[in-house]
Amino acid sequence: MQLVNRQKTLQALRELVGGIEDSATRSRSSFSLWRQGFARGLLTEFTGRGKTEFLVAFLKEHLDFKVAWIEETLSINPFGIFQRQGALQNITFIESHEKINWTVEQVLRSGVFEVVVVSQSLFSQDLLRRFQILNERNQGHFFLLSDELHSSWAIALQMEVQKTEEGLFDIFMKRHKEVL
Amino acid sequence: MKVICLYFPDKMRDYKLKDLAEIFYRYTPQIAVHGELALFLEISKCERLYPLDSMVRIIKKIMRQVQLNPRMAWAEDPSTALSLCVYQKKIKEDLPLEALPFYLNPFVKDEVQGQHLEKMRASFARLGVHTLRDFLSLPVSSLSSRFGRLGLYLHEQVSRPQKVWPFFVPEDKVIEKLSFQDDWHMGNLEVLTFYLKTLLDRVVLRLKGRGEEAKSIQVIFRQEKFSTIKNPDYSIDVSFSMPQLSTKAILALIKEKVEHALHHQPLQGIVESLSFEVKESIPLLTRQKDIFNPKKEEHEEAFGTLLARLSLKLGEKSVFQAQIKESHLPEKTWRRCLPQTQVVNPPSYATERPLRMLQRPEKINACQGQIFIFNKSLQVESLSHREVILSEWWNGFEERIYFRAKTTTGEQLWLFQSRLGVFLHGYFD
Repeated sequence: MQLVNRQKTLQALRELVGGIEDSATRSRSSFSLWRQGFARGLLTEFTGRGKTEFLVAFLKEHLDFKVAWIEETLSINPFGIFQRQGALQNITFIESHEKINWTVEQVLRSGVFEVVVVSQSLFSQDLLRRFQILNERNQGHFFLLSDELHSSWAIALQMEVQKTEEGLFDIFMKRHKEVL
Repeated sequence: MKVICLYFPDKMRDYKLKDLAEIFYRYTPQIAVHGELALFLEISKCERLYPLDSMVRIIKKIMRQVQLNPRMAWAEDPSTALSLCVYQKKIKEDLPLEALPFYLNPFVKDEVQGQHLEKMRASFARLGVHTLRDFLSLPVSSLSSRFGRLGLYLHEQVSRPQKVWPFFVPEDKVIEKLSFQDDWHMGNLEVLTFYLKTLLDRVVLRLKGRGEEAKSIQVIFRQEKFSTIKNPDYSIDVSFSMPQLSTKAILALIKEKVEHALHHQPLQGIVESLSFEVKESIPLLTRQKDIFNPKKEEHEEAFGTLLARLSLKLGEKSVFQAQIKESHLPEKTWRRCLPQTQVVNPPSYATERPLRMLQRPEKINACQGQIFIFNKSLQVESLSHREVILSEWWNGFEERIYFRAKTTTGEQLWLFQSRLGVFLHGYFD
């Protein structure tokens, strides 16, 4: 009896945060290098030597997206994005220093960006879950660029991207669960 | 002519009528004040935009916001509007003769003529003339013989009022002040927030009236003068990266800044007054409302608020948009500018640069195909994409030879060699 109640509560909570939404019904942003495209409202994490190039290629295909690019200490080269035909006028760069958690939360809460990119930062399970809920509400894209993948269940899609010498991308799927 | 008069019978604390008048500057430029007693708005020219009933509703709403409750009346001329307010009558003819000074000049109290008028009113009372109706029924010829030029002039003004409207000039600065009672003390920040909001409402209304947006605001706590307090004025400057005109947004930013300041340096004494001064403002760019996308405006406001909030907390230079600069030096190819700046980026003819760049080139040790970076040893597999870049001539044409170094573990580093050694400048990621 208790188990049934617990399952019902979980179901209700999942519906509340949108976790129950079927992957087929989710709105997606297309990407020529990843035919399924990226589902909105989910957390996606990239790793590997080609992750930033891969993400910039995605942004190049969606020039109208408003992007927040958050780093603790800035290492991204905007000129590099410009050379790869990214829309610099739609990218807001934020150097958060030690206030990365606060910054990401504020950016997500505002709901003004369609894409939020957080680079080279480690977050706790609780924080990632909070980001996931906020992102779910905004129905935006949240991309993490990490050297090592987080082991959090809040991240729906984890990919390792390697850029080959020919300029192509080798993509290795590490996790793919679009229904939380 | 159609004039709305707001009459303030009680003396206002911390308010100047001229400041209050600025709020209505966006509706009509024809504004006049009578000392600290009455405010006149001439609305005949803006009546098509704001009909009388809408204007009355707007005024009532604004008065609620600034927590004032004036008497309001409207008429064809300022003298009648003011008299109706003061004597709380519905029609002009019912007004008592005490209203005559307002017909002499509704904008300024004339003390000298006032004494003559008082004598005139006493004479009229003896004759049984008590209202303007009675006064208007008197033959004009009898007035000139009995009361001379003044009587004739008054009769003309009451029957066909004609007044030269004074020119209204808004104050140079927007300053709002709130004085506290002697026994008031700041218990906590929530109490303070209440007062901040009250003041801010007034500031924002005035800015809207002037058609401006706040760029920088100074909050001043005036403390009681004690020998232990060196400077009784405790001031906090709040600058916004994006101009702001929303009470909610400004309040959140000011609250954050004040909280931070008071935490680091608490107030030393009892606060006598709190004031806001708009240090910098910029003209408000009004646009057509996008009726097909009403969310857009809301979205832009939220964007501006977020940027201001982030800039305040992280520093102005930490939130930016990148603008491309024409330079062959990799570290000078872009610069930071304010988000939402309309920029035209020049075309680039440089070879492909890495997406990750170090803020300063890091000197590395390299020998026999091995490089040592950040306590790590990496084996270089190949060097490619050789490029020679010279520094500016005023820096002595220093030569840098750039390479793309591929390591056995797959990293693609962007190195350069100069006369000072080998440096890591970026990496392909």
